[in-house]
Amino acid sequence: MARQSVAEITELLLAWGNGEEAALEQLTPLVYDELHRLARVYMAGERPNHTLETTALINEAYLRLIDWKNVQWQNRAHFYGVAANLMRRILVDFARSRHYAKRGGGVPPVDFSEAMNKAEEKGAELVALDDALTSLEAIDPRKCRVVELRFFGGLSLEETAEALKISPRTVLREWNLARAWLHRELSAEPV
Amino acid sequence: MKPELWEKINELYDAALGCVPSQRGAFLAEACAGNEELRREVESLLVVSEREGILDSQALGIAAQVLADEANQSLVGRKIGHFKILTLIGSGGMGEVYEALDVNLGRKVALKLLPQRYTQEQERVDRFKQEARAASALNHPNIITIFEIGEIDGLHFIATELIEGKTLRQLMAPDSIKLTASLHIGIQVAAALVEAHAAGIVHRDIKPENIMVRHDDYVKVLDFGLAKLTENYLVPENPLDSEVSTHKKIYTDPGRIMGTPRYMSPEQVTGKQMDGRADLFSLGVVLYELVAGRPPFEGKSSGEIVAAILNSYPPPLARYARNVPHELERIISKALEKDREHRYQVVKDLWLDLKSLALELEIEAKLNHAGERSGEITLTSPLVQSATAPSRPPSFSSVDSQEQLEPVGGAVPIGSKFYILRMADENFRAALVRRDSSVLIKGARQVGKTSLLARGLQQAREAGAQVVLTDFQKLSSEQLTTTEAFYLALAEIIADQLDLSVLPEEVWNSRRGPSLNFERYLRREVLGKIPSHIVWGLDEIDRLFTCSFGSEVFGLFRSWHNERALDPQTPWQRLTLAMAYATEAHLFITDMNQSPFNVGTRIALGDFNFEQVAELNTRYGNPLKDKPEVARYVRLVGGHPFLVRCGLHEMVSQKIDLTTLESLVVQEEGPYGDHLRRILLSLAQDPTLSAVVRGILQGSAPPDAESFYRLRSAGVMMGESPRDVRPRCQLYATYLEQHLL
Repeated sequence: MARQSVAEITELLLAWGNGEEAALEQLTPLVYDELHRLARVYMAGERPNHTLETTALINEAYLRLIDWKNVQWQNRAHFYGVAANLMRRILVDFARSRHYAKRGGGVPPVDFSEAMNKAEEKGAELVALDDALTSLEAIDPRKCRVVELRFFGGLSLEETAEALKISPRTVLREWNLARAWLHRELSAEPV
Repeated sequence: MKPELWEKINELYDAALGCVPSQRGAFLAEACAGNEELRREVESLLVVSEREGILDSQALGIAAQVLADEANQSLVGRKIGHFKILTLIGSGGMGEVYEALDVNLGRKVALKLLPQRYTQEQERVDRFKQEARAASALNHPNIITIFEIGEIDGLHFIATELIEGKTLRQLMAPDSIKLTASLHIGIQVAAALVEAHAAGIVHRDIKPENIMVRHDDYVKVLDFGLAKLTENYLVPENPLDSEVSTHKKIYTDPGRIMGTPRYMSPEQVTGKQMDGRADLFSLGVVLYELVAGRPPFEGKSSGEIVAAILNSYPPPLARYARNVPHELERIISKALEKDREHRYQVVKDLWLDLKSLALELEIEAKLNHAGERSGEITLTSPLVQSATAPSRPPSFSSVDSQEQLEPVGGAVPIGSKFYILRMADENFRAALVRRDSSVLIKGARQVGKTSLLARGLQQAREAGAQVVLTDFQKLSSEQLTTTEAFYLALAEIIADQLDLSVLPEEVWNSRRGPSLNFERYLRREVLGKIPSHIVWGLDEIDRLFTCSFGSEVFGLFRSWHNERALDPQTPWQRLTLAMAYATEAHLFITDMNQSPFNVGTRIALGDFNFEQVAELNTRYGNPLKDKPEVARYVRLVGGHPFLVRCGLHEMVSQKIDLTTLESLVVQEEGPYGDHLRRILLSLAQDPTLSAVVRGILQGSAPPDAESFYRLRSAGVMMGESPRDVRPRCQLYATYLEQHLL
């Protein structure tokens, strides 16, 4: 498949946002391309958990997928929401498709011999987070949006603020509690 | 959840985050006003807010990692060269590690595949291979054994022994590690470093990820030499090289490629040349983290951590852990000195300090429990290598008759039950087994150097070596006047003891210089005729220090050592020099490069520790009745081996108790009379030094550095620094006060 131009991706995203489910079929391989590309970088070298390096690489991947800057200003907030939602959908489906069952989550692999289960652990955690996020949405929909935009959509604090039309300070407050709440949910012992 | 409650939680959580952590509890107690559910909710949220979790990364990155992990696992089942990949057992900065089967040899190995980004430059790969080969020659129970280094289809790999256990990082994460266990881990890592440094290999990347603890508590240090691969990545590549773009830029960013700088020494983070002392510092960081449960240098970013390493001093351990011995605090601080000149200079010294501390703690614990459990006390901890814990001879319940008592003074006879095995015995034995080229036994007067030497030679003889012993004390002053007379005398002693057929004077040729004659004789007539390992013991070589050609002699010894290093076939490989000298003496050596003292294995012989005094007391039939008496006795004479033996002997032979002994000790005709008089006499020869000692006794002024070191190496005073100086034991203090003040 020929590489789609950024403008085409934007079109597809907006179409999907308008309810065209078929657009998803065209978007998923694009996201997968980026995933594979990132994965190759990880495999080539060390895999730090949360360093600047990772952040930089991921930001780059997001930029290739979603061209925030070129979207018309009035559409932008809407567009952010659609893109983040799409990423949530694709990435969680990706994890689910690997049959990673929901487990305790949150607990990093401890035993050396269990390191091979790392993929499984991470995948399961992603699935568990999606479930917890759905629970959070029932209590506090705005917090759910904040998490979607930042965690799945890769948006900065300011971009999130712009998308939700609230102040960055409020975004941070919402994020802090949502993060703590979700982490608590994920670290709870599985029933 | 009720919306009102949720709203309250929002409000209080936010407010509590604004409080300093120490006041949050009080704030919540007041704000919740008895609403326990609310308080529980907010508190539990605050607790998790400190931890890292999935939301601190981004979804795309996590999914990509899942893919990467899967891809790595997909190597499982494949064959790479003669290795069949079984499972992925770990991954880290230096690549993925698999359990694999070496199908040629039918053994399981740990196969590490090196990331390609490190192996693209040939020069770097060569340097790495060279280092890895050197590391593969290391043979030590605490160093992972390297089986093979190679390349298959452009994929560089290292095959090592397969270790079943956990990395220190994994052990630290869920639980805190007990103090004694931490010590034993530290001891074993130090032992590994001692070995590596002796071979000229600096690890460069000592951190919890590179230390594995096997299920039987054996510690293995991984990845010796691997750091060579990543070296110099700190230097930015040409920024105009744009085609290579992002990756290169990212990977050359300082502080990132090297992973966390958390365990690096100040010299490492500032890009200076590193030596063994950098590893020593890193081990200090690991030890601190083991004991405190948190690293000594923290920061939110690499930059902050680097700044902490360079500028800040870690909080005292006692802040984070209970019952941290003061000695441990001292040891770790010394390892963490920013200026490497102020650290321990060699890991061996750190190792020794850790060992004796571990032993002391163990004894303390045993003694505390001894009342509860009757029966034999064993001192072997599972974490102490058997090789370094000398096995104990059968204990003697009492000394049956006076005939069993030996006179005290001079060497302890071989086979004597009054000989106490120390670390040094094991180290010496190991050095002889390894056939080290030179072994230096150093210690103050009367600590047992000659006894140690004699025992080592005896063991070497039993193991099939030929043994020569030269006691330099027995050389006449004529023999020490000219090199001609000296070398001839040495050669004659050797010829005599080894019963050689060709005598030195037969082949001595005056046209060759004396040292050449001697060397030739050794090579042709000794090493050339005797096929076995030869151990040459040289006792009291300090006599050479004051003689005019001393440094020339050491220069000759050193040249043999060098020749061994360069030529594996040289006959000098079969010669081990075991030299004993008193620490007092090295103050006289002017040119340290000339002396053999900067090469070879060093064995420092020190005082008995508490346990060893207690053990000797047992062997003498317990003239000291109980633990408090042993402690009192140790205060009186310190751990000075001669004084300890002498007093025990006196008590048993004269049938007196400790109190009576205490009343006799400083008397001229008492058991220590001669010993004390000798100290007084040597002090009298140096009025300046006498004055310094007087000053110390009166507590008036700290001594100058030189006097301090002289007094300390002579074994008269002890202390860490001139400010901390004090008489070595109560006996010395009392005696010197009586005679000098």
